[in-house]
Amino acid sequence: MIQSTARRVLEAALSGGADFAEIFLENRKNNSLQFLGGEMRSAISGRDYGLGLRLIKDLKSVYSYTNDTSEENLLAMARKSAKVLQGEKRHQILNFDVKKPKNLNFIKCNPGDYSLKDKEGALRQAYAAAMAYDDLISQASISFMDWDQEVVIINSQGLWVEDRRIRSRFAVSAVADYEGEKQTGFMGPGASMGMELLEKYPPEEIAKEAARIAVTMAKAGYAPSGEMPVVMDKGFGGVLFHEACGHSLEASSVAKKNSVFADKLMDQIASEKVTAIDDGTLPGEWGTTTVDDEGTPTRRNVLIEKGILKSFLVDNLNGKRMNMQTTGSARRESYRYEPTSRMNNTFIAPGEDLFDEMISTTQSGLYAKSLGGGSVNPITGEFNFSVMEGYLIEEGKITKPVRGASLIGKGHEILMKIDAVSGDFALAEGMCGASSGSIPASLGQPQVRISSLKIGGRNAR
Amino acid sequence: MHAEDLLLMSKMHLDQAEVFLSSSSTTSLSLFEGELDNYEMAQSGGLGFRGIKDGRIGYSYSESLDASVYPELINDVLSSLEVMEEKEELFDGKISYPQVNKKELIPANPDDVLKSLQKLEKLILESPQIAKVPGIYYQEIVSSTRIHNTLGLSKTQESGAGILYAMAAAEKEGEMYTGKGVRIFYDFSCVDLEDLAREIIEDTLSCLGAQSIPSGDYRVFIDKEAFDSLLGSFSSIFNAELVQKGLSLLKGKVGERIASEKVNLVMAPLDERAPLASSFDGEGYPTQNFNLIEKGILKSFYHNLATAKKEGVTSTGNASRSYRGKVGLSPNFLVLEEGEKSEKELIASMDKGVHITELMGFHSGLNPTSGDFSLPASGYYIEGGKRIHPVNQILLSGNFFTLLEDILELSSEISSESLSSRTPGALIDKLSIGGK
Repeated sequence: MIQSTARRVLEAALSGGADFAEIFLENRKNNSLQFLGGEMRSAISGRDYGLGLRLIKDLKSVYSYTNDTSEENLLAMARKSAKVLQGEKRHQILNFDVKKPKNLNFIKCNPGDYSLKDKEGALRQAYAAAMAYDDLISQASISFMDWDQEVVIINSQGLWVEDRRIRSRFAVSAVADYEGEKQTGFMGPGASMGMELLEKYPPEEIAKEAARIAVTMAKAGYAPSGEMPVVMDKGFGGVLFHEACGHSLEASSVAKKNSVFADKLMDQIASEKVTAIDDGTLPGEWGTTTVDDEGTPTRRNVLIEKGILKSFLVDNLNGKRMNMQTTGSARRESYRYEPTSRMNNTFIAPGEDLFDEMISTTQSGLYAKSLGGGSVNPITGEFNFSVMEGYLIEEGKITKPVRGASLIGKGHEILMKIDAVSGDFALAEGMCGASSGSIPASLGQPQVRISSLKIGGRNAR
Repeated sequence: MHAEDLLLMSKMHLDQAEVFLSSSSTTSLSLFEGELDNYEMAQSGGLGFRGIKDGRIGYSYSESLDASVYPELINDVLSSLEVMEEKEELFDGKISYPQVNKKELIPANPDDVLKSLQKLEKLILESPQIAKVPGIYYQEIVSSTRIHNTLGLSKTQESGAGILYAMAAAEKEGEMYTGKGVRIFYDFSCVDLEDLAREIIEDTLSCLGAQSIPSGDYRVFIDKEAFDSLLGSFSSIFNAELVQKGLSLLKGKVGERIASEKVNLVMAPLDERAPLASSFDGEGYPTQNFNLIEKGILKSFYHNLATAKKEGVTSTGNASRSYRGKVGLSPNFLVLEEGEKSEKELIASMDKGVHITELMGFHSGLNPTSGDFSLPASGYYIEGGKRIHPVNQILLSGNFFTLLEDILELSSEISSESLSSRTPGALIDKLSIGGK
């Protein structure tokens, strides 16, 4: 985008009395492949392209977007948006300070330099490995996707930031058939990396792990139902904090006091064992970006320190309502979404307890080994997430595998019930959905025990 | 963008080609504490391109509609068809198409909308027990689809609908409770705001003081809107591609009893209640009504051209398509036919049970391949046919295939808040509840 066009569009945008105007220009190439049932089901490349324009006046925002970035169309869109505010022009545009910050992620093998044909072999290998894992495996779906998102963020206060986000993800879903039933297993590592992702996570290994879960679950019994202690595994176990607390610390809900944690800054909201951090700067991580989607550099935000609430996740607009500075947490799926505060890489920091002791001191409970997604209602604090692979803990020992079930609780109660945190830490990757779309986010933790959670299995205890 | 130019240009490289254009325009308003919070307007879309060469199909897409992207679109299709192994054919459109009952969305004046949202907020807050209205959201969407291919197919379709959604929150003994209400409309001036406000207040206040119940197996009545969402989440069990690839437990069961004899499930895109009715599907093939389940017997799966060909049947007009992806399959309006008894009668028939009014966590708490589900729920505990107390913090768990067989009755009332289906409430013999 040329500076003179940007200036004229922002001028038009401010003509209705807005305090602030912002352009988000996106050009993104996507490549995806899916191998299913012994065939390459799809292999598609495509380009996302568009521009989002945001106007802010006081606490109101007007958002518009388009795929047509001709100056004529952008000016028309800007004038139409400005008219909504029904005011007179009050602000001038400052001179642009063009910045292209050094990328936090180092890409060794740009996936854009490889053709779909080059990528096909990895999917075939993974499929063969999954199918060969066990006679019970009846089907496997393998997918590989990568994208290269180039963004330019320009605002009326003179900000002009360019950033590039390259990511890759390889995923395997395996199906096991046993006694007329089907069970599935899933593994899907991703990173802000290129083709080197496949060196870090060899396709056969991912496939075997997905197949192992499917076979284990096919032969497993039902999960118990009722309240009991739960030990969450490291890595994706972080979904507990992500749902029970993370979303409720986003200014998106806190600013309007639509969160159980609004007004709780500096209060103890979690057990002293809990220190929780959101860090958008971890090199190569799935949820890392050099700048956020308002152009602010990302940073490490300590959210909870030894149980005390230290910070929320804040974006510019919600920060205005809260009288707080941005924490570099504004994110959006694409130009189709107005940005809001979201998580990047969110985790519970390592503690000092031992995993073996967590298990041996639990009389009767559940060990949640692989986890699925979840959701939360920040107003009531009620959250849920699913366990895909679980094991009973009986008399201090991990015993029988049990099938998937959902777990529920209220965030403000559960955080106080975290009674052990190990030192063995890992991160894992997922897609997080909220008002500004579906975005890559990492979550993580060491092994953690919650003294009581409600489980929705099918064996009442 | 002129689809014809791209098709013409592709002739040098491809034997056949197809352009799928979709665009939508949306207007959204949200209200917070009496003020306009956010106003959004957008016009956007994209172009999906697929082509066949030497019998192989390939795909590409772009959201930039400038003619300068044509070479990239064609190159991407050529690299795609080198790798893809799916057998697909284009459709020539030489067939007759059904008449659809088209409803037009009447755009509302944004100033009037804002005033109505303010009025709705005021009506909700008139109840002294409501602590706040976390948000009110209004959206109009008009979308259009065009398909053109080198076999002569040329189809255009436009549809639109509006949606109004509001929440309320109340407090009791330090805990917050929320309720909500939704309306789908074509003419916003016909939405009864008083009625919606009453519903939201009732939904919020009726759960005050809700508590969990002991874990165990219960007889359950699932409300129509909750059952609608549950059925929708499992509709892929009838997807012919998933059946053929061994991802549905219904494989090989056509003609067999798979559900209670009370169950009649119809694919009904031509039903006059279908909000987004279209006379053709994502491949340009005509849509039609047909039975999936009749008196508990599985009659058919839903098909597109490729799955139908594999099975030696004709397409049911259920090809789904977005410009970003390959042709797939999706239901285009599901109707589970209503029963004879009212919700009231069915609830009164429960000696000891749970009336489920809301289910959540659909994206993570269920698995269509296994049929298993475990979902957070809320509602009321029933004894002797009467409401004893509101219930929350429970999980409703079971298997959808078993649930279909365990349906005792379906209610005479039918859902109305979904764009994709209509479902009565269901009385289920037995489901597991995880609670205290």
